[in-house]
Amino acid sequence: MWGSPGLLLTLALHPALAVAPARDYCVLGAGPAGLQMAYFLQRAGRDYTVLERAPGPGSFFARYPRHRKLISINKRYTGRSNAEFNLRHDWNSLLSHDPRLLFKHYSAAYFPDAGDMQRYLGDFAGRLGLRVQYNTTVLHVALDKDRRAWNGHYFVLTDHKGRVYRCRVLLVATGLSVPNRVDFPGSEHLEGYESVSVDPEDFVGQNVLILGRGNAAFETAENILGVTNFIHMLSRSRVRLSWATHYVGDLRAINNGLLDTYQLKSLDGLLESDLTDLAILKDREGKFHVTLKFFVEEAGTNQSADAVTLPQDDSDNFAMRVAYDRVIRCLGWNFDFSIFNESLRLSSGSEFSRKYPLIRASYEAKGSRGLFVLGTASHSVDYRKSAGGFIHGFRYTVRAVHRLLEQRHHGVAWPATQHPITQLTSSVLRRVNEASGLYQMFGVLADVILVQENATAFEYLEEFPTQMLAQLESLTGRRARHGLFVVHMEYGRNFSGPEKDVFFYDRSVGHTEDAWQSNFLHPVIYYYRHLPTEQEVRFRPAQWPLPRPTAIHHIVEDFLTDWTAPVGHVLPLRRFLENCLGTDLRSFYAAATAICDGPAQTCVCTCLPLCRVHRLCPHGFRMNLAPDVCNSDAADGNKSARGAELGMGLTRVPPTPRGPVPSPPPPRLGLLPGDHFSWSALILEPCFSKMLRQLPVSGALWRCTTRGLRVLFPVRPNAPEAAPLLPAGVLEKAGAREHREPPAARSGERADAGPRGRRPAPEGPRTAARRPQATSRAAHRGVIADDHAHLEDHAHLAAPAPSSLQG
Amino acid sequence: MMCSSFRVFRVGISFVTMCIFYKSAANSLPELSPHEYFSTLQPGKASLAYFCQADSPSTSVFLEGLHEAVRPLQDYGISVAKVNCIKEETSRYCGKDKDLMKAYLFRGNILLREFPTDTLFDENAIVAHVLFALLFNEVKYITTPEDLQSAENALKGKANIVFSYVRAIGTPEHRAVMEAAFVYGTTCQFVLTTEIALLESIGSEEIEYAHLYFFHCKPVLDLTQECRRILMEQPLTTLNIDLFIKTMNAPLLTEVAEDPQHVSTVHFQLGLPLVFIVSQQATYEADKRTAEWVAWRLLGKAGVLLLLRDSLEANIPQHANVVFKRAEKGVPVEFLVLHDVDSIISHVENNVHIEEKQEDGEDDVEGPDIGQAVSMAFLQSYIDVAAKLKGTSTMLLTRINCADWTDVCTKQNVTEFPVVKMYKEGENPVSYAGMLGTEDLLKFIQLNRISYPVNITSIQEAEQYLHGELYKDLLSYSSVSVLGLFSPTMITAKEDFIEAGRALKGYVITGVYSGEDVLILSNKYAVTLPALLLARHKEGRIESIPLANTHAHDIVQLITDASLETFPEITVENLPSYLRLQKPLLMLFSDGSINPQHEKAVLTMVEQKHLDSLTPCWLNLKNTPVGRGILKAYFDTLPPLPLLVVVNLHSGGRVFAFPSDQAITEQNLLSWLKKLEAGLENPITVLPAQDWKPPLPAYDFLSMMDAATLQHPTRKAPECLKDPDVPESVKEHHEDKSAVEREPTETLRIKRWNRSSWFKYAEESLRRDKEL
Repeated sequence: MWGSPGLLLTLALHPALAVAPARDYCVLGAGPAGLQMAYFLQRAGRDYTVLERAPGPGSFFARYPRHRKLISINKRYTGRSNAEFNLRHDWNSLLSHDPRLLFKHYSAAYFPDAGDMQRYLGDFAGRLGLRVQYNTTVLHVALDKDRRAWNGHYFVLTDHKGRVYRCRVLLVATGLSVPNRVDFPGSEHLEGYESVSVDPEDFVGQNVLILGRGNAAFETAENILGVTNFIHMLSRSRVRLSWATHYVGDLRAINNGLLDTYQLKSLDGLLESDLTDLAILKDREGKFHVTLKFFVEEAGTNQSADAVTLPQDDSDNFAMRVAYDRVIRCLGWNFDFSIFNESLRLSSGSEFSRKYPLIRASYEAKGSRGLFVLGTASHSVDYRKSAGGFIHGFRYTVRAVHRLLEQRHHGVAWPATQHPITQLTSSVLRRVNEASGLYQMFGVLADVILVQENATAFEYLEEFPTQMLAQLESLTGRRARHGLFVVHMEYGRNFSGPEKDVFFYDRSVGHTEDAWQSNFLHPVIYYYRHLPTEQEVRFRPAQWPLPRPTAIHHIVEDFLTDWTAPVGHVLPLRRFLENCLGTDLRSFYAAATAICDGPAQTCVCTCLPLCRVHRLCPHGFRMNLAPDVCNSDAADGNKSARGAELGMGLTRVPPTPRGPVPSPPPPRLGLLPGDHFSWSALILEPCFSKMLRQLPVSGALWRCTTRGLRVLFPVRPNAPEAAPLLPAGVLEKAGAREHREPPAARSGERADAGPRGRRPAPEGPRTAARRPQATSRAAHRGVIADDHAHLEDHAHLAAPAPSSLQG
Repeated sequence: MMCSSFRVFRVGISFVTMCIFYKSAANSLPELSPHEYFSTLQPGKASLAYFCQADSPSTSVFLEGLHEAVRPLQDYGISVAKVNCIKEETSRYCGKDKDLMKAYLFRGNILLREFPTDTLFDENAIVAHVLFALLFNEVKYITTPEDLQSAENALKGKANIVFSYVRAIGTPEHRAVMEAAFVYGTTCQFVLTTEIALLESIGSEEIEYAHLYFFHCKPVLDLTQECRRILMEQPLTTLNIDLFIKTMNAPLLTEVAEDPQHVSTVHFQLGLPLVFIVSQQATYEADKRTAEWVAWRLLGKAGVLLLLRDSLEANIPQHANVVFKRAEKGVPVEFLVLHDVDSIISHVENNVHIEEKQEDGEDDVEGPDIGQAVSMAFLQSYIDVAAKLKGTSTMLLTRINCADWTDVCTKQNVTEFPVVKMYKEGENPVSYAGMLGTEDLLKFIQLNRISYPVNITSIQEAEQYLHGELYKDLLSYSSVSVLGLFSPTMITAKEDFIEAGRALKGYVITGVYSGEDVLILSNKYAVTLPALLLARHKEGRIESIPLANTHAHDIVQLITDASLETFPEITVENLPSYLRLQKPLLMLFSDGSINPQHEKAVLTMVEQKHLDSLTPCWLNLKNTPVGRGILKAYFDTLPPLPLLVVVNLHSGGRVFAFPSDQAITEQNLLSWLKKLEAGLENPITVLPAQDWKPPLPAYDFLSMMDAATLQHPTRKAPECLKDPDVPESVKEHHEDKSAVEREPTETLRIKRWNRSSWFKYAEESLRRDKEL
């Protein structure tokens, strides 16, 4: 009956254990991350409980931020009805199926009040009926080894009343709750952000020193900026502005009033110094003096301001020579390691050990299997990179963790949708244009497309942690044997950073062939012929978020983050996918209509003369045509067998060898002139005009009638469909010029391009060396403009007056 | 006024030239050598020349279009020629690649433009492109609302603007605009766009079609004032545009003092009604102002005249203040008493347009679409269906854009696009799986009006059903009606049939009868129960098929096969059904209807079971012109028709042709097929087993990124940067790395564009990464 002596020992240590039934999942903390996980567990019908210290959810928000204004944006309008897209700009809502539980219904303020967040979390837990046990302070977490347990051990939690909880999986969502303190002589005189007064009246006419340089420090300063004599702000590192770093945890513009007053020669100021070198001394009047630890140590233990040398004694212009009335510490927060038994090995000597528990990219603790860290405390995975420390980021990583758990413990494979390969381009397009998880957790979560055998179909997996790519098969329960695509969002490699000028002159990229130099967030698609190994992931080239792929595609950045431009975005993407898979992904329209029977003939045309049915023909054929007929390989393989059945004597002839693969087109790059129409491709193939070709996928559709071609429904009213529709001679010229120029030559040329944001006026015939640079972020439009400008040039040279037609 | 007299002159010229060419060189495309061609060029005269080396299938289609364009272009004084490069000396216009020949537009011997042949895809495209190039000054191409604004500002007080939006350059609408520009280009400024956004910015809502506006800018003297914009409501054809511009240029208000019955203005000649505002001396000024106001409101819809009652002897009723003359000839004028301008306008509008009403519906068809070409094309079919169903059905057709309503589509399990689902109260939604065309969709919707299978309640009803009396209106949509017969105890068999009936819902009419007296039917049609009766209404035949132990899936198959014809005319729509049989096609190509004797010969052979291993069929080139292309692929030159071939698509792709010197008789056919079977015939062609490869290479960003890294020596270049074209040497001479790196980036880039080496290169680098 007793499993092992080890168990006996544990039982002896925990007398209540024998009666405590084990739960599958215990979630520590009912903050946003804990509730988010509870939601997924509840929806999956799992056995779980949430243990929360406070009497209600989100107790953090009862006190913090101290000045009550959240800096996560509450964007209520985007002009779009796509719920998924709108989450891209909603920083406060948790994920749920209930549209009433969107934060926009809780506050009208762009920067909402913390009280609204608490109210929202209360509704979230209440309305969804999440099982939260409030007023339960877990004081101790230990391991109980048991071979039969899911992870080889149970997590044993003891609360303040001595109750014991045995959990198969422990999900820690306790956030960062311990104020970060720096120990130096005089640090006992500091007031902390967590307790300092928020009433500006208390600071009237005072000299204030604030230690720290984060949003809390600036928020505190902002509150008292108008009543103090001056505020000095001291920290070790330079200020990091979030609009320069693209990291929401850095100083947000809403908080930076002090930067203004400092640089506009008011009395406030910023200073850099290592805090651990400092000492703060209190004088007889109760004012504080800043000095160096070195002096204090020299003076011995009697640390009075009068006894210790102050820096101004040596140098009469020492910056902090004035006495301060208050010194406030705003140094951030640390994870509360205290309740975790050492056997859990949550912390180690890494650089984040002070602040964050040590976890893998799968959010599982490195030290103990089955312990996952969620929410703010899991931010070590993408600290200073992405949004994993914030609601709008970790709501997705929590979902990823839940999906991993479902696969690991319940055999539920990572959700995936199956599509025929013909849907590949549109699937990618759909996601890059609406997916919020990819957008918020850029660089951390990525969609994975698993190509199926013979590239006839694919599985689409959403929001997988990219750093776990090598373990994809075991973590998701899906097979990646025939190659995969990873769809990812990235900023330009050298664009973001604390000292970078993100407003530099040529920051936007408009030309498709320069897409790889895009600076703003844009989709990047990696193709791997084989699943990368762990080694490849770990030892990937510097600055690469993923191992070096077989091929890579950047979708050029878009000012509207709307990657649907047929020529600028869709066509290059489709070409990329086609070349990775070695197949033609164009859509053929195979239906007949009364007004237009041309396109209908496409498939007939391709079937009969070519002996092959294009895989896309099933669009029109799908009711009637067995799939293997469409699959050229299958048809080929059974060739002789079928011939024999037919009794036509044709089998005696050996199967015809496949015709020579047509030699690749000349190395012309990217968009070719005819390419816009796809007609040049047409000519290479024995199918004829009088048929439909797809323009760059979603652009517009040429359908032919016996009377002529018509174009149908350009998709986006504002997309540059016109580009392919301009006279082709023009496009060819422009195209040829663009493609033959090396990027280097162009980047040099950028310096003398016309003023940004304005289309350069036509200025006579252009040569290849002086191509006008597209000049706005929406520069893909500029391409067209340029092309037409060129048309004008051309015409000046040669266009006749109409009267001269008759000669 | 210099301008307008010039216009008259020009039009005159073009008509004259038209006549000349009409008589002399109608439709012929001269074939010249380069030398001949250049010697014919006359100064100032435009000429379009297509330089070609040899006729290949890919150019034949272009040539077809060019042939058709010869006459219309000659109407505009543009000569057309085909220049053969092979015959004699070459020219620089001949190019090198024989499949990528271009057409060139010259004026005199100055080259104006070159056109890749694929832009000139048909007659309309050719005419449109050529005129577009020549009328450069007359037709301003713009892309932004700002361009339009500045064009408008520039012309205020000077000239009117004809602004048109066409969906693409080279469309028939574009051609029509260009032709209009040829005539009116000197009096009006033509402005053209293909940007939908631009059209939207001036307030158009229905943008599926081309639009044309007339901007009355000439009367605008105050620059802050807008030009009045009048939308042409008719489709964009040359004739309509011509009439429209004529009405726009006609005087706004004409004063008359004649009997309205006899008055005719340009408006009336153009088919528009006339509105007479009756005036008298005392109120002349006020009436004139009213009439002008009305005229502006009715511009393009009706002609407005001021009728001076005082100087008129005729019979205008005392109180009438408006006279309305309908556009139809011979209809008496109406005398009206209308009290304000709005009632005049609405009277005119109500008598011009027929009001459209919306249907109320009980059913709901959902057609999601996402920004994808197929969806977009299908949408047209869908709209056509909606138009056809209008007023006849209680069906509500809706569309959902899944790009916006992702969650809705996900909930409906819609993952592929386009999808049509039909929702009926109390039933599960049905997904449409047929051809994406109007006819098939319409058929599906119509057949779905009844539930499947139809429960037949009596022998009489069953007979009515079998004889097509029960669902007369649906017979045209289903070639056969199927009736399942079961005795009341055959529960499983009946269930199987019902399942099959549901699966065929919307494609074939099915019914089921299992009354106590079912034996009467089984006896009558001599079949044992359970059974199927198959009524072929066209042939008036009823077949019976026993159904013992047949599963639902097989029943579906059975019914599907039964609805195939024995000697069908192959069309685009039905080809897949016959290809599915996986037999070689015995196909008779016919230029028009099939010869009854040939048909009889084949049918006899079918009856005698000689053709069981083949799918006999025929193709009417008149109905299915793509057949011509097929024949060209089989034979180099189009052979005389009719023509019989055996095409074996499923094994080997061999094509055999029945000797053209033999008559297509049973006897000859039989012996030919025997020879085929014995392997004594040679195929006329073997269709290539061509794969669908990527049509063009993609951007190779990976090497661009590598090249950039190489250019910055400060950053360590990844080891994998080796030249793809020398992988062997790289492998052997690992130490040679520096040499490769010294190679100019430009060269590297170009080399890496070579698609064939792309993956080889990637693999190479991967391998090397592993080694390191």
